[in-house]
Amino acid sequence: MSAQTVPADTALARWQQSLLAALWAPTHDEALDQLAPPGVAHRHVMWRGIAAYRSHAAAQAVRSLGAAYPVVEHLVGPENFETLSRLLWRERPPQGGDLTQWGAALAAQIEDLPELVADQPFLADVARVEWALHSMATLGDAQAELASFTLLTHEDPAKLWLDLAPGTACFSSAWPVVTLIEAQRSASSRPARSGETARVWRSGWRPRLCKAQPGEPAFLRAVQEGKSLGAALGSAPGFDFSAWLAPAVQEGLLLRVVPNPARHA
Amino acid sequence: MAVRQPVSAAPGLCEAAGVGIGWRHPHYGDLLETLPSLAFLEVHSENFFGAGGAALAVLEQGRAHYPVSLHGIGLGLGSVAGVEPRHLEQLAMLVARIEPCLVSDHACFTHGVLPGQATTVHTGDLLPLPFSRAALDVLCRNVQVVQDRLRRPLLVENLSAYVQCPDNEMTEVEFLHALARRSGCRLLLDINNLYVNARNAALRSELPDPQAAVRHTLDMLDPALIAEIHLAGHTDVHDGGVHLVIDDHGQRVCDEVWALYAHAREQLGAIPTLIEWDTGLPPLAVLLDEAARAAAVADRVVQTV
Repeated sequence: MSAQTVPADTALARWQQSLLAALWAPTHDEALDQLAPPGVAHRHVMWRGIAAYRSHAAAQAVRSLGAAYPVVEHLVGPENFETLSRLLWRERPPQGGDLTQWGAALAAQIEDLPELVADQPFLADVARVEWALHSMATLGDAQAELASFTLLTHEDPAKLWLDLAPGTACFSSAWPVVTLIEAQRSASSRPARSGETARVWRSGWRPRLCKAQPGEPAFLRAVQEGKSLGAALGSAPGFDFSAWLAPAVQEGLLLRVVPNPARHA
Repeated sequence: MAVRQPVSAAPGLCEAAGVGIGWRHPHYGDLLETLPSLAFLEVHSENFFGAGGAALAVLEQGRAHYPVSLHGIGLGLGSVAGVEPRHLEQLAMLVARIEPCLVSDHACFTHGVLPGQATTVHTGDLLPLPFSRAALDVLCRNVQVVQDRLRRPLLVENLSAYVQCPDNEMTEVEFLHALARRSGCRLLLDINNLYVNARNAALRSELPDPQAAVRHTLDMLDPALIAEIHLAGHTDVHDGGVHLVIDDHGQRVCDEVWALYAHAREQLGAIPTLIEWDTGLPPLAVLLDEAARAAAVADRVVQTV
């Protein structure tokens, strides 16, 4: 917040706090009590006004969260998703004015609901991957430098560094998260299998998802920590770099190779 | 606080007095394919925050063909907690990138601290302020913080409100005039918001004639302070025996607001005008039809005057 703020005991500060409390009160009636105690003129009209603001907030919650979590919404169904959205809004409310950035805590909220976890134990992991796919949409753009890949043919890997696509990350899960998300996206029904590690990245402007190769999470983590190619390969035993390279370039995961760590993005 | 006089030729004010439309996601493709004749496009600033991505690229494509107005809904200029520095930085980045013809937000509060808690919550809504000296001080200070960062005048829009604030010490016009004269900002006049507030006041038996009340408000406004007009639709909601008019931007502009727009143009002169539509978006052609109607109203006024 700005350094200059109004003392909390002024009438204006109290009014704003009362309206905020009304918006986050459990029921419309409790909300009304915050602003218009019994006996106040036009209390019934005030009730409708507060209800309008509260309904708008609830709709905002569902709309914002639905944009980020279409697979979670599909998995739990529209009514449960609406309940989940309202719960997250109440317990983990937005802290900034850009509501596209609200909702990162949905996985934690799901894990606080034992019945939901028991019913759909994979849901929190699906939410984590969906949030990563959602939040990468506004990251800075990056272009591939295809000519830089020739460095791989003649330079010592200990003296090369890799730049990866915006949003690159891996998520290990005891559940088949990639299969679950892809099944919902393509509306196909596939049998659930064993746990999977998801790899997400942005190819151009498009968020992408696939199953990570064995050893790939450790390799990508080392690259993102600023280790050279040689050191990253040393951090990921079992990782098959030669099999990884061509698809990584074609899919926009690997953007360029640089001979100088200072140029490493 | 120093008094800042508005300057008519100040950088960042839209000189063209034509009609634009709010440009929303479902119309991105249609508009870029057909490039209809419009004076400007207006977008919600917060939808384009961030360093990159597809949405920002689409906005830059639109900017290549039209002046763009950035209309914010999240600064919370009347919030006693102050403007969020991160939000302002995101807006400043967007302004530097898009070079908009106008930058605006609302005379409202959006965020604060819940009783008994330490962290700020953001409501995602435009919440009303009392027309009081204390609210004016907060608004002027926050507007000045934003203008100093953006290095350009801000437009501040009058609000539709569904609860009545206590502690009003002046009229809305006095409040908005004082805001503009003290901070150097300009006003974004939303005629539908004035009409919705008047309709709701009439439903509370506080006004006999909403249209006459808004005409009187328009007559009181200083034309030199108005830099943009918004026109939108609203919806009558009946719930639990209570009738409320909601400014949902989900309908065509009603006949009464069109008549008020004509009156505003007579009183205030040529001012950039925007057709806003945010919920239940119809085909782009409907917005263009509304924009054509606004242009026709403006033309008739010019011929009459």
